[in-house]
Amino acid sequence: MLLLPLRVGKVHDLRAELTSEKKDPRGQRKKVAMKKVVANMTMGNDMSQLYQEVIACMSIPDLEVKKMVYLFLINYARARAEIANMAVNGFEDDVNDPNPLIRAMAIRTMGYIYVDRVIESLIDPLRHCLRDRDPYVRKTAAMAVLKLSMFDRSLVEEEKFLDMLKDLLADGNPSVVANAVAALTEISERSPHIKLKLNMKIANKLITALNECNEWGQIYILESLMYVVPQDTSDAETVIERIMPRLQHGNSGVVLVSVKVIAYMMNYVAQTETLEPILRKLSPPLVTLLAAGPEVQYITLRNIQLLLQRWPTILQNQLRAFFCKYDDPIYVKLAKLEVILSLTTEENARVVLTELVEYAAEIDVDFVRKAVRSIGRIAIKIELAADRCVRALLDLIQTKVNYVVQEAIVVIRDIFRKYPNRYESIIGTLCENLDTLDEPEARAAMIWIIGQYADRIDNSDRVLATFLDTFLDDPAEVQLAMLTAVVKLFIMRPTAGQDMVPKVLKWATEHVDSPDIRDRGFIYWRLLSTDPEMARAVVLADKPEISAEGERLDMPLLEELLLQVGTLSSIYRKPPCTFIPFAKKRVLGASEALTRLTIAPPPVSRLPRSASVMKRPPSSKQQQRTASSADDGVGGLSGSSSVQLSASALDVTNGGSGGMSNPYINDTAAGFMQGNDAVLIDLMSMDDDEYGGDSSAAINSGGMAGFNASFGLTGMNMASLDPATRGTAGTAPDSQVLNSAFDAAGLDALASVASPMARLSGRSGSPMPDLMRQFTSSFDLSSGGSSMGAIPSPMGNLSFSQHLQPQPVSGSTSSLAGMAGGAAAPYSVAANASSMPTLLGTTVAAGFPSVLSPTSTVFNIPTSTGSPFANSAAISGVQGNQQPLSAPVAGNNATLFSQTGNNSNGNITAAASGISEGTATAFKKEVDDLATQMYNSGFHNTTNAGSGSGSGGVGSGSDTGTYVAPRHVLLDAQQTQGLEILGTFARRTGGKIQMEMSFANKSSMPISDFAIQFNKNTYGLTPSGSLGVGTVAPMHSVDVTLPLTLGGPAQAMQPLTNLQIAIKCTAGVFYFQTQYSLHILFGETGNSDQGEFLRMWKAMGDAPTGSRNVQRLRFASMEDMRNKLNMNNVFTVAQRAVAGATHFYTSSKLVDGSMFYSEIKVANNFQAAIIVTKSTAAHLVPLYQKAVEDICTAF
Amino acid sequence: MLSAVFIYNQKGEVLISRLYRHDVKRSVADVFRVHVISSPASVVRSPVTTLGSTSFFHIRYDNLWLCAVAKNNASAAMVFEFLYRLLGLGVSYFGRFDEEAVKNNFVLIYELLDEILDFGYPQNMEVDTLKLYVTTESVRSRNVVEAPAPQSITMQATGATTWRRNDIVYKKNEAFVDVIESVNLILSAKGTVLRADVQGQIVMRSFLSGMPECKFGLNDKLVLDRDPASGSIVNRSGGVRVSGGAPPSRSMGTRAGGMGGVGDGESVEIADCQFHQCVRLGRFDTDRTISFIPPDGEFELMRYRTTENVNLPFKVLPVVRELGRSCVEYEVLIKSNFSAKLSATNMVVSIPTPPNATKCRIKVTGPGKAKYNPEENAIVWRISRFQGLQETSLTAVVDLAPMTKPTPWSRPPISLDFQVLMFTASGLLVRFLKVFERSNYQSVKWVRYMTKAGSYEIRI
Repeated sequence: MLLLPLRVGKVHDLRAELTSEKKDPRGQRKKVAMKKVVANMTMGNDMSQLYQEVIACMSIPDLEVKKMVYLFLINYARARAEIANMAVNGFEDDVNDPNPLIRAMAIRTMGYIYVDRVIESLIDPLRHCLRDRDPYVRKTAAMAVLKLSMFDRSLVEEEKFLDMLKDLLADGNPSVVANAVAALTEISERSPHIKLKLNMKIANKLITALNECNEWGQIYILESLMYVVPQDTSDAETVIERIMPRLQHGNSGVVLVSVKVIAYMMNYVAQTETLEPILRKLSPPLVTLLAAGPEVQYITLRNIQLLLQRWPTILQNQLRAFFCKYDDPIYVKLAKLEVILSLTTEENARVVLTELVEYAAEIDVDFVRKAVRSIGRIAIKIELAADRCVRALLDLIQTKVNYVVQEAIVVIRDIFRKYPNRYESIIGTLCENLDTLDEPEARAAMIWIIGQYADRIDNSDRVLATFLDTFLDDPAEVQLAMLTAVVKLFIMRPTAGQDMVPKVLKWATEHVDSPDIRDRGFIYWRLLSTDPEMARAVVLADKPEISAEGERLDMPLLEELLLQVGTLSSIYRKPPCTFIPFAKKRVLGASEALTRLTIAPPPVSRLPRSASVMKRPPSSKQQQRTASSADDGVGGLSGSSSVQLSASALDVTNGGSGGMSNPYINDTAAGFMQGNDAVLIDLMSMDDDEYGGDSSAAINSGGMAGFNASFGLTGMNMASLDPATRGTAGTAPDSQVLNSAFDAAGLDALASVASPMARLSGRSGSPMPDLMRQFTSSFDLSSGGSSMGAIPSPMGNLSFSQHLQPQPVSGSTSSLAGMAGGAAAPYSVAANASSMPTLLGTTVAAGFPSVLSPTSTVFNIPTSTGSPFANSAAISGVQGNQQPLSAPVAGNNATLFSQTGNNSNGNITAAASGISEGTATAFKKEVDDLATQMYNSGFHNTTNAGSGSGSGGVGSGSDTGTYVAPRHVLLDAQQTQGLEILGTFARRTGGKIQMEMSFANKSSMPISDFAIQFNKNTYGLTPSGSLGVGTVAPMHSVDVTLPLTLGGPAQAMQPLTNLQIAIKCTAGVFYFQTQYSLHILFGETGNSDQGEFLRMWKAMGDAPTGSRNVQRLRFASMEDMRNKLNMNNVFTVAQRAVAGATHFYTSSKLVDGSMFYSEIKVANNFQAAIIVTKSTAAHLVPLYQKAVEDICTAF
Repeated sequence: MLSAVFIYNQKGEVLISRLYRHDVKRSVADVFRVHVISSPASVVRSPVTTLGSTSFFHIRYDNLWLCAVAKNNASAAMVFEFLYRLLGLGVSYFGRFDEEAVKNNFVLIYELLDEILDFGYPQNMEVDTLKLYVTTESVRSRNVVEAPAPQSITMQATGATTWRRNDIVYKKNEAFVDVIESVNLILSAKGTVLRADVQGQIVMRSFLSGMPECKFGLNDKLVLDRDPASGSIVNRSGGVRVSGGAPPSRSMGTRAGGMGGVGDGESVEIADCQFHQCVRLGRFDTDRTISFIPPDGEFELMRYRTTENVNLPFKVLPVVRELGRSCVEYEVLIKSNFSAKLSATNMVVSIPTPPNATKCRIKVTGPGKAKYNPEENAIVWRISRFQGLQETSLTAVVDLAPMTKPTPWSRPPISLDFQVLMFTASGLLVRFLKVFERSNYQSVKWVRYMTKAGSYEIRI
């Protein structure tokens, strides 16, 4: 309080100085006084009382004084309107000042003051200033428009300032152009309905202006090039070529934004030959940035990681540039380590390893840990280096540095996982360090190792017993490991484990609070008490492969992040919308030229990555997921997916009481779909006018809304959920069982489900907020009555389906996620408003390692929106456990996924197992699947059995997603002295085209030495592998899959899909010809957005079209149909319901680039459909339609 | 784009606070202070900190924290580049940029901040132009030219060559070119080169009148390979004057006989280079011509990087033996690997010792003096002058105090610091610098070469 009079005194003095009547011709005294005012202001002293005096100084003709007055105004006027109002006159004088600097300053300052009167008086002068003859004023005015738009967006539009900004793009002065571009870019980024689109003409002009701009202007212009969607490859190539020189710029901001634009444009380059030199040119500038300041180095390194994932060939042979200097800041070192790991190949593994060992001796604990962990990753990634890595790790363990030892043990566990029966000799050394393990992860790893090798470690029981004392105090992760290890011990050495097992099981089920552990405890208990053999099969099952590609991002996320190179988003590896409230999602603009090419590195040097990343099928996504969970090093113990499996198993044992407590309920996410987010986005960014009254637009927005409804309900942590959801996105959606039904009008809702990010952005950036609000209604149907009959055994299998009958107007959609292990646990169900009066069928069935009845019981539950409905389950025919099941089981589609967020209850379970008629699968197989899952519960975050051709356990109907024509006789035994070949063509997930054949030997002699050759054909289809048929014994047959590639010698055939094939074997040489279904040539990238579709549809107005009637479609729902089509690369662009029918709009792209656009009108009873197709390749339309028909009518 | 810029002193007191957008309040300055400046963690784990939706980018210089705040998905590289440039402006305006300078010049800094950022978008940040209209007393007095008309300022600030005024006049037109190379080396304990590269910098000081068009040529392999004849023509055409100036300067055109290891006609493979914004990148891209209108005074024309055929100026052969837990023995031999006519100056070899070292017995055979420096945990060996093709060696025995909890010594690398004049580790030479101006004046050019240690690490 003492200070107060002092300060008042100061203000008083200053006031006196400012109003002094003394002679002050050039304002020098007042300048000094003003400086004092500004000084006080900076120190946080309130000078606002002086405003009258200060504003009076505006008339002093001195630039410096004026600047200070303006600073004062910016500081105080935004809070106090009266100050601003008083200054208006002064401003009005200044904007007409002959001195351009003063004019500009006035405009600039006024824009900062968000007070109505100031803004009002800004509008007119601003219009003049935008046309000022002085470029400095114009560039300042351009920025002022942006300021204005942040104050009042509508004002800017009403006053036509946007148009004036657009005009400035053609300004002769580069700085003006740059600022205008910057302003436009930001306005469009923040506006819900303005979308910046630049055509090539403007782009070319802007690029020309680049040369004259200062560095910042270059950044703004380059940034704006992200809004150019190249319409053909040459557009993209032009842009790349023209901005390539920018990589030599001294400003790292310019370099990285250029990299961003180039990386973006590379998606539109069609030829690998064009891409390669571009990639080569990208590398040196990136390395050069490593000589910049550490902050820029860090940003560069983070981005290099992203670029490397997408284009693994960049930075080849640049490994050494990433070696850490001793005095690099820690964040640079950690980032370098990641890059080093990515660049490690068989050839340089040795050098890298030496380097990592060096790092492991440094001081920073994080860095050392990461170095140790990296050694383990290399062992897993590069088999040839594994020995060396293990030796290095052992050496590190000898150092006895506590955290090094613990980290090493964690990675050694993964190495054991990857290479069973190879390094067990080192277990002894590991055990020497038992006492020092105090970190949960290391303890858990050690326990896992002991459990896994319980039969090889003589005293494994005693060693495990040492961990027993602390069991109840240990963290969940360790308890879980312990539980599993003890059970393994018991199974392998019953006598040794018999004392421990009951104790641990009792603790786990009675004293532990964690539901994960409790549930696991129960499941083991049941297993062991009912069927020890099964327990053995489950607990000691083979483990799925793990791979080292740790922090790999899944493709859609990676693609989005690559559109954000150099920004915060790229550093955090999170889409901007996760941390910026208004951020719009960026996507690769759809265009015919969108190729998403990548170049795979030479196959020797990298393992799983050699596959073209872009075309990665769902199954490999799943692998990635698996890998990353291993990589998390958490070992999937906390919140592991299969734990949910057991969780529900537990519920079952409890008698399946209605209101079971499920900790995961809030985070249950609905939906499995192919990651097809492009569809969603383009919908949102659709131009309204372009669409006019097209009803499909409305329907789509309904879909959006529906989808949002579910999202609103689930309220999950998007960031951490994302990978998990994506990881499971590959479950074959068209198997008889739908994992989640998300029907009604929301076609794209489905697409969006797979990509939660898309949704998030959908919420923030959708141009139809009103619609959304209107439609968004979410109901938690789950907590209500989920009633389950008592299930006598945890292996009880049940299958049930539910049909919801939506009300005509506000129909409901159920999204049923997370059915695990046979219990209808109360997961969340989202009801979506929809306007489609169709029946919606959700069939959820869950398979469990037990006998099951092949028939699923169907319940029809009329549900009105908002009312809780009961998930009823029918358990039919629980029979004895032991006998093998002969019932046909197909399409086991169990998917478990979980989220390992920091939120402890963040978990999602969604498992659905389907039973359908089809191929018969032995019971054992089913058990194996489950075993895998169970195993994973002990190790992995995510198990994803049952999808596509994924790892581990998939029922025989594994690839039910893609259509495969029935096999037909290619060679008849009659004409070939006993060799009969049946065959068909398939396109499996990931775009693998293959010929699936069975060779039957009906002669009395063995036939061997098979070889196959294709004649030239229309698309150059040739075998890419050898025919893996050995000797076929008499009266035996061999099934074989022959991978095919395109690009062989081509020659048009008649019909176009005809193939002439020669088979050579000991029985002779045989020739035959066959035809394949065109669908095997549909590319994975054939999806286009609505705008695109419409454009093309209109553009091909006169193109010959074909129309085809199809009878008896084999679909259970529209959902099913869409999924099936999508799985076969007939992508649904839009879907709308009309009376009694549904219209699908689809696009497909043939490998040769021809596009097919179809309208498929389907009667709601699926009795008939009409396909109308337009295509760039009209001659193919009949074949195309035939293929679509086959897809639709196949079982 | 940026929402605010703050400058703090070491303690975290706000010296400068300028808000550009309404999405942040001044109080975010405190957020950064609490979370980063006063954070208990001794080491900054990241130069970027995002709290909620507010991101803070900071760099440190002297006793200052320069911090930029953004609320959007800002281009991080651009923000840091801006902060670097802000720092540069400070240094250029005030000589030193520290708390003192900031406090004494806050009005000017506010003026600058108002000018260089508009609504958070960096605008013209060229010192030369800014000094025309954002001035201090001291800056103005140095400015010989009277304050120009506002129109010419605005043209200057928005034009195609924002970095140069068009009314510069010198009696004697001179240009100085400094080629400064930093050699980075990581040598493994076994003596294999893990990484060796050269970061070069070409700094030019131009005192040229008018708007001179400059062309600059190096013995760049790509250029010479393509057109071997052009080099000689240029030399004969005499775009370069020979003048016997001060010893470190060497007039262009003469071949560096004394240049370590690089003979005549040899060319250098430049892995990558970056240019000052005055250089026309398009032309470089098409025919690798470096052409530009230079700013007045000193500026960094280009940076380059070479990784092939690096001439390491020094060979270091260390033997470090840990004898039990009580003693470490060192034998370090250094050989200079450049022409005997040249010499290295200000050489400092830092040989790390374990933290528990107590006593050192050091013997140097050859030039230089060494002593144990306990604060740095190192033996510091200073050699004021080290001739080419010479060698020197050091032996030392370091006694260790017994430790209660023995932890292994992390054995940090030996590091070298040095300067060698008239030597380029890359072998790079300036072939010509041509100046064209309308008035067609004669100009004198000087070139100087220096190689210094970047991060010259020898692991032990």
